[in-house]
Amino acid sequence: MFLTINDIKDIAAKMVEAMKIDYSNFNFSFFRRRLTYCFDKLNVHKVTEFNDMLSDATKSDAIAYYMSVPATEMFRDPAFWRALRKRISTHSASLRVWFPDVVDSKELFSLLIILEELGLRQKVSVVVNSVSQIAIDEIKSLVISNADDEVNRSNFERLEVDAQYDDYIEKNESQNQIKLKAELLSKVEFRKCWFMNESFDKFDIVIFRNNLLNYNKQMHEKVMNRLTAMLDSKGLLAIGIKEVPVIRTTMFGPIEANESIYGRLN
Amino acid sequence: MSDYKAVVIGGSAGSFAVVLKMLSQLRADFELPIIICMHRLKHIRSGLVESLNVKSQKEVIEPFDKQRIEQGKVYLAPSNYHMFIEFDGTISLSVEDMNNQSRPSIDYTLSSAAVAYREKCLGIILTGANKDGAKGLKDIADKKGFTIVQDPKTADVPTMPKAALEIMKPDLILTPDQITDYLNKL
Repeated sequence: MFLTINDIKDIAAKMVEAMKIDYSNFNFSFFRRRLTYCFDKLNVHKVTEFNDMLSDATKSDAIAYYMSVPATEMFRDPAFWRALRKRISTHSASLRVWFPDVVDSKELFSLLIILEELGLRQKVSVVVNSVSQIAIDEIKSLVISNADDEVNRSNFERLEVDAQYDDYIEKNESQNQIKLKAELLSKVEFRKCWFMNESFDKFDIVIFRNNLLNYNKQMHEKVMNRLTAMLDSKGLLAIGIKEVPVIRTTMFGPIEANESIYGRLN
Repeated sequence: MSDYKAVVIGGSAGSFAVVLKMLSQLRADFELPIIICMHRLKHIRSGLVESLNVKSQKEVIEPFDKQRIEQGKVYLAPSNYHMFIEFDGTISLSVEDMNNQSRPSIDYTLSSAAVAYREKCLGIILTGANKDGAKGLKDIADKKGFTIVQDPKTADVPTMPKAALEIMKPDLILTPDQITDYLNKL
């Protein structure tokens, strides 16, 4: 369906009001693509029909789900996960980790498996924010896509750990389904809300990879300010390897520049 | 210099050698930005841009998100990211779903360039093993941009140029050397 610039701006304003997510400051071309994808997935053919859906909580949740971009694969950029593992392994105390905005399980389970390999999973509490209950329910179901199996395995091998990928999954051949081990989620807390709208205690690690891509420059800066403010002393922030953080403080800088791991320097 | 604002090139199987030769034979004062989207292995982050820079007359960059496009530079789509051209003269990246089994998708780069540059876009499709890029090149033609397709007879894998020729009529069908000559005369 073709959406005019005015259509898109009107829809964004209505979405901000109804969903309390600032879509008006998403990158415009990204927002247009995602909106078109959302219309397609929800089989919507009229702008008015879409706007009506915003006042229905279930339909609005589905919109938030389809507007979000899932991670591409588990252990994307294995060198990043190796670098993060090395950083985490030096921590002896308990850790708090935050995923501010997820719509699927790939990044979360990548971390949980790393923690399990380090023997630290029980010492780490993980908070996961998502704008969609559909996404949270999917993550809790532990089911991952068969289509990603090959790339997930390939990335896992590049982690250079002793374990096997198969140690963490259960295959149900009859249902053509792959499930991750349920115990991985035992220290994970899920919260359904947009991360910019809620207050938390501070975190030691924030993982927010390839989400800044979706914002315009103003929003990018606002989000970076929020994320860095949520970091505890010596806390780490992981962003995508092709994202450049806009930072206006000297108290924050690169820790592993090649892997886009940044941190508070005080 | 020409009225074009950028040269946008798509290629897949066999295109590395073509692009390498093209960049090595380009005149040193070629001013237009060259934006290249090549299918590549997604788990190998480094190596390609370094290899191109060994022989290229122009600096080849794998851009960061929101990086400004500058005259005289060559931009190569990073591994496992889609690359789009924005109206404000910047590049945006994305990890959205694959398109034509590809991330980066050539269609996405070319189609966004068609919208951003309209008649001032010069689009080129090279050798390749799938149809990705054909629609993007057609989008450039539809916006009155200039289009060149590598002669399928000279392509290592002719699927991509043939797919383009099936849905549009380019301004020129050229051999790789002729494409370089054309660019050097702009």
